[in-house]
Amino acid sequence: VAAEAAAGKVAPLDDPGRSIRVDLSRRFCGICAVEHVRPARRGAESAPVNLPSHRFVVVLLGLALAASTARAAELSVDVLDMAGRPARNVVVIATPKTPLPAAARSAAMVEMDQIDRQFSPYVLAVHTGTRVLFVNNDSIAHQVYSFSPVKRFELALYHGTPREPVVFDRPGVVTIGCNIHDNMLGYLYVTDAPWFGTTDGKGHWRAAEVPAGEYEVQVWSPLLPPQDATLTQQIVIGAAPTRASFKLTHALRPEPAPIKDKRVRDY
Amino acid sequence: MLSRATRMLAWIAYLIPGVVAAHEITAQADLRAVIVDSPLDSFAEGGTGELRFGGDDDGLRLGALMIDASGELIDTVRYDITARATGDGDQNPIDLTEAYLEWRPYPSSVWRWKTRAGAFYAPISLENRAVGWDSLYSISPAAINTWIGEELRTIGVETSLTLLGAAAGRRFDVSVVAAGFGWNDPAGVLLFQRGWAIHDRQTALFGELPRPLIRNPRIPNIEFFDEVDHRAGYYAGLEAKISGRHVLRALHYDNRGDTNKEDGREPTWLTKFDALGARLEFPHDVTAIAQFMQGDTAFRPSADGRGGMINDFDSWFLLLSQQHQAHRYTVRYDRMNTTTVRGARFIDSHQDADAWTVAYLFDLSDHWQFAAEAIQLSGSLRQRAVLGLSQSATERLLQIAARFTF
Repeated sequence: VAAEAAAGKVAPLDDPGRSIRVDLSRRFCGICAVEHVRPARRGAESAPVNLPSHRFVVVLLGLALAASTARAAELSVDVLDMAGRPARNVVVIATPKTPLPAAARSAAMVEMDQIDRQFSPYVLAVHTGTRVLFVNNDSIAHQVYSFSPVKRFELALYHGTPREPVVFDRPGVVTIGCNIHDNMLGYLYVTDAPWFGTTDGKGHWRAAEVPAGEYEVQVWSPLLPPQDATLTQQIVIGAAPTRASFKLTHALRPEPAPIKDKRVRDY
Repeated sequence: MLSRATRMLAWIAYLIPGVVAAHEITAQADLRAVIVDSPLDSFAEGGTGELRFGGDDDGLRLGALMIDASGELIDTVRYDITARATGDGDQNPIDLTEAYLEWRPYPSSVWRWKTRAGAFYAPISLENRAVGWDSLYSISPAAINTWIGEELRTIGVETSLTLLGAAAGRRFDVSVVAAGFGWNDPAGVLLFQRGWAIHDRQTALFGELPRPLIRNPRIPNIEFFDEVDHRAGYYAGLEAKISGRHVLRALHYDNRGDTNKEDGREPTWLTKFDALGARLEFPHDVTAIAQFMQGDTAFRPSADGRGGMINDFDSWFLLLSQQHQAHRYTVRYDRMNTTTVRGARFIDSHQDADAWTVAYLFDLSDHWQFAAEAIQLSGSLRQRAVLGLSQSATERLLQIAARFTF
């Protein structure tokens, strides 16, 4: 929701690499209608085309058309583990190289549940400032806490919905635990990036209406060794849907298993 | 004794509703249909049989009535109280098996510290994971864990420090645990007299059992949780959890009994052992558990302080279990040995036995569970000669349990 809200409010950049090849060091921003100056990119898409001056107006017209019809595109990311199988619950964030005008965000509230003595989802990506409600769906009480420097908190033993959400106001990784059930482990990935999420069961994540431009796409999983938990790719988003795919370079540890048998009491 | 237990229960019943903010109460009734093929009377009736039900116990029996209450006293202090009734004429019709407070401060780093005080089980069994310290895999736990339920209880303080490795992105959680305790001086008396056994009867804190080798009704039953020598015992152990699934445990136990002190209802038994265990989880919900225990127990004064009579004991088992939807299938093999290494001319305590257990558990609903279990325990127990019985025996038990939990 946050990503779409941001995408709706931020005009995409045109992509000369896919539409008209002109001087790529200058772009128009569709929303503020001023020219943003940025360095030329390398590669085929940056190859300049010498255009006859009498056709310049036509080119400008084309540029305007391109800007109005193909300002944003879908970004989809696939994450595979070392064996080539889909990797789920992997955080994906896309950060534009050129800062986009900050979109007005309503303070979002999301839920991280506790089901069968485990956090669900196991990993949740949220934008900085998001309020998270740790809802207990189990019949037994939980005592959710974190000792992560990014956000330390403790929720006294509770059933159902806690009284207050927890505000995650600084970016970073927050490890979530339950003081009663040491097997419970979850993660919040708090980010300033305008596009973020986690991969589904097919190792897939997508964002619609991502403004064209250059992006740094990162994937992160708590199940990777901490020093190798992040992978980064530079991608360019144009008018057409853009795909990026990551293959993890380290084996994923197994996710903590839920305890479905209500009789189990050894925590 | 009755009044002590009753007073404690009354005090707890008074305490719970007033103070506790969030608490959970579980009650379970376990009724059994029992078919026995055994030449022996059960130890529960004063015999030398090593199963809970003996030769003439066919029919409907009470498995257990169990009530467990746990919850929060203040933010980081919890209580857990378990009471059981076994319906076999124990001292109190219902009695406590565990009652303790646990302090779990919120971890402020990857180190988790927790402390228990009261009466509870040492962290040895890898089977007895269910509420009320019941086995998750069968009706009757293995010989090692059966003995823990019979004769061992930590009445004291236990503290443990865990490195929450998983929270730090590692594969391992590693814990060290240590405890100091009293009131466990008779530990070893039943193992010495009757050898290892396989059953689900837990001795209550104020509970008793008849003496297997003594037929004199004027000699009182065995009282298990008593302080005779006024010397504290200890245990210390290590635990590793791998990927939050596999568990490895090692523990050394020593009740530091002073065998020269014999002025209690039981003499002081000096009991020491090492316990090792592993529980591994495989694909398709297959669990494998292996435990090993080796130690010795001694009583009677001796010049060297090691005891006038010393009995070595060891046991191991291997269990395989599979959960398939609401069904669980378990098979287990137990090996059991005891040997008198000093003082055999007075009583030669010697057991050489093994057992196969197969169990099927079916969770009909959140409230109803049906369980069927067959045990064949065979081997010799030299002490039976004292009673004029054949040393060797094969005991077979088929029990079908209906368990209602609410």
